[in-house]
Amino acid sequence: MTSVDQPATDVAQAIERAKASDEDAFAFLYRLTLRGVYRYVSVRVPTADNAEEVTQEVYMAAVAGLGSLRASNEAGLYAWLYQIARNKAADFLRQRYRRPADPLPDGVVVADGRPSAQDLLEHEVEREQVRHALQQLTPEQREVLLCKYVMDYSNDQTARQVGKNVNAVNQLHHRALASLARLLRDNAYA
Amino acid sequence: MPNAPYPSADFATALEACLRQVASGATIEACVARYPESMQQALLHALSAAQALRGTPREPGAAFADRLEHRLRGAVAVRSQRAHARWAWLALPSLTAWGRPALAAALVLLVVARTSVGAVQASEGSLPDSPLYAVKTAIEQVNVATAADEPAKLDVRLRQAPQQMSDFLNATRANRPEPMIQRLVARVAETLTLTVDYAMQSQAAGDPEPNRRVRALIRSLKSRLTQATPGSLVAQLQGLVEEQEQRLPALPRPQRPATPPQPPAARPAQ
Repeated sequence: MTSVDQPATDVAQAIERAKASDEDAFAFLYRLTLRGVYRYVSVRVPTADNAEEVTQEVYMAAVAGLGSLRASNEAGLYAWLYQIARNKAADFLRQRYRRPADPLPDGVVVADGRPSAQDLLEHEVEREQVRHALQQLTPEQREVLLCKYVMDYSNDQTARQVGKNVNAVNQLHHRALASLARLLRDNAYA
Repeated sequence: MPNAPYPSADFATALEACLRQVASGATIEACVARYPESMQQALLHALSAAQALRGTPREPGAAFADRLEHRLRGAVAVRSQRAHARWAWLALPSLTAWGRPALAAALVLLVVARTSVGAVQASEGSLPDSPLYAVKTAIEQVNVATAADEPAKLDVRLRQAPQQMSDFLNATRANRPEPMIQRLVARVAETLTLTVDYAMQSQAAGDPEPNRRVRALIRSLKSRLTQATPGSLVAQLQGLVEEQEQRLPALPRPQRPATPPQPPAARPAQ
């Protein structure tokens, strides 16, 4: 997510200081990127608990791998973190397929004035359908949709992230959206 | 793998326009209504999919964000200590088995000469806000650096970890500033990480004994933490200790002594 307007020099300096194990600098970069990384992870894994678990793994891996960070700006930092997040989410899903599914929650407690249990449940079902449909797309299609709709990347940023030119990304985007729509429709009727 | 046919250029243009309008607050139905009927159904599905996708991400909770930041700060502090330890190693020449004790003695004498015997003893209970703390950490590093081999380093670290835990507990009890206690958390975690690293290597090489000893150390550290006044730093250290415990491989099952085959039990007479 690049919505945070952070002066480039601040980020560049923070990266250098974090690489030298400066806690405050790393905390600054963490606060800057947490929302984007968490949102990305939350679309790939089933529950909020899973998203927290994987996000934690992403940042712990980032601390361990700070020496390999070559980025000197915010975009480069995000690209590096998303790469780690993609791998960690894939690892998580691979492990999950090897173990029994988590039990369903006992119930949903709803405070007054909040969305009803029915609304929450429907939203969870829709979220799960979208997540399931995303899993069935090609990795490139999935990555483009996540860049556009979860990370709010522009076409240029998306093109840089997936390593293609803007025209190719546009084609991939439209095709991916059409595929996702068809999958959601098919799954709804299934 | 699904692969929808590539939409026509007109459809792509219409889709981009609708996505922009919906992002600006227009309803999907209003956007779709501006295009030919032949396109409307496909546009409606694609826009609904985009909307569903936008609603899928969750947002991180504030409590989670704070908790993780706390943990990451600890991890960065451990990284920092490791880097310093690495440099300390580089500063020491490669020594023979005889050379190491000699160097240890020389360095300890140097430290003692620069302070005093009383100061070295006094440094044992010192905390990071004391000038004697530097003496204590220097002696710790010398002890590890001059250990004859890796098993000897493990012995040294297994002795150091409980003392480091005492420092942490004393600082917590004395309400010392949080950054100072964070340093002590990092120190315990660093020592524990190195012992676990060695236990894992040894077990992979067929020797589970270090694993047993490190497990005993972890049990004792956890027990002492349960007696500490609860707090976020205690919880943080508990988390780091448990993390290291989880890294340890399972101990091999003790082999049962081979039992001679038993004769079949005699059937009771009918």
